[in-house]
Amino acid sequence: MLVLARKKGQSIVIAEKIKITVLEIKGDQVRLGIDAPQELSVYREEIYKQILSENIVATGIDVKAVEALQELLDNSKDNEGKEQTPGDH
Amino acid sequence: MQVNTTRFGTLEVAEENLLYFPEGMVGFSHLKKYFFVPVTNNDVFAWMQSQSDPDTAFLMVDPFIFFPDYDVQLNESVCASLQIKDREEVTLLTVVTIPPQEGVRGMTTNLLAPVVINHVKGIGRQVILDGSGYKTKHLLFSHVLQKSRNRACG
Repeated sequence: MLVLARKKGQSIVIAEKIKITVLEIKGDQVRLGIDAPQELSVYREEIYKQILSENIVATGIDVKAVEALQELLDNSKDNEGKEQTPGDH
Repeated sequence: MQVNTTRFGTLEVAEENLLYFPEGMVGFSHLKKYFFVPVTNNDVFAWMQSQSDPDTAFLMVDPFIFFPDYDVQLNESVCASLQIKDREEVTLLTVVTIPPQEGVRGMTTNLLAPVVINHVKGIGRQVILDGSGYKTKHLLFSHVLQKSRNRACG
């Protein structure tokens, strides 16, 4: 890992298109400002990991599991009394 | 073109039906092209199948059917990257997961990271709504679960 020391107000530049600036340092928390091209996503790591693991679980769904869906939807409609129409939003 | 899939066999997919995800789905950045496979007799859900990886498909749902108050604010950079000029161009879907123990009754969807598609341009992106208060797991059939619990108690 490359390690660089920065002070408040100072920046680092990555690949000439991403700039990360130290905006504020307060106790053990650092506020960073990030300038990046619009097509690049910037996430806090813990949120990113949450979505990543959810996506991995999602790709494990079997077609058979979905067959039970129709049954559940039909039951749900019968029980509900009020139907919700797809695309009605 | 012919596309091999694990779940649906070999499918014929027209080039114009391919969606391009410049960044891929989160954690799947190597897979850039997807297409939709309908769920038989069901237009609420659809599979989003990778064109290049037969194993990778996401079960997607129209979240507004289950969560009519779902509020998605897309920032400027997302709209710009998807070349969205009009909201009519946008299709928004969310990823479904099914817990093995509970099956479809325990189905949840990820409202924190919806998939936003510009269906006119054929480009998509999974967007993380950081700070929105939404989570990765929202029960789709909470009223069904509630009912069966009530029944069990009554």
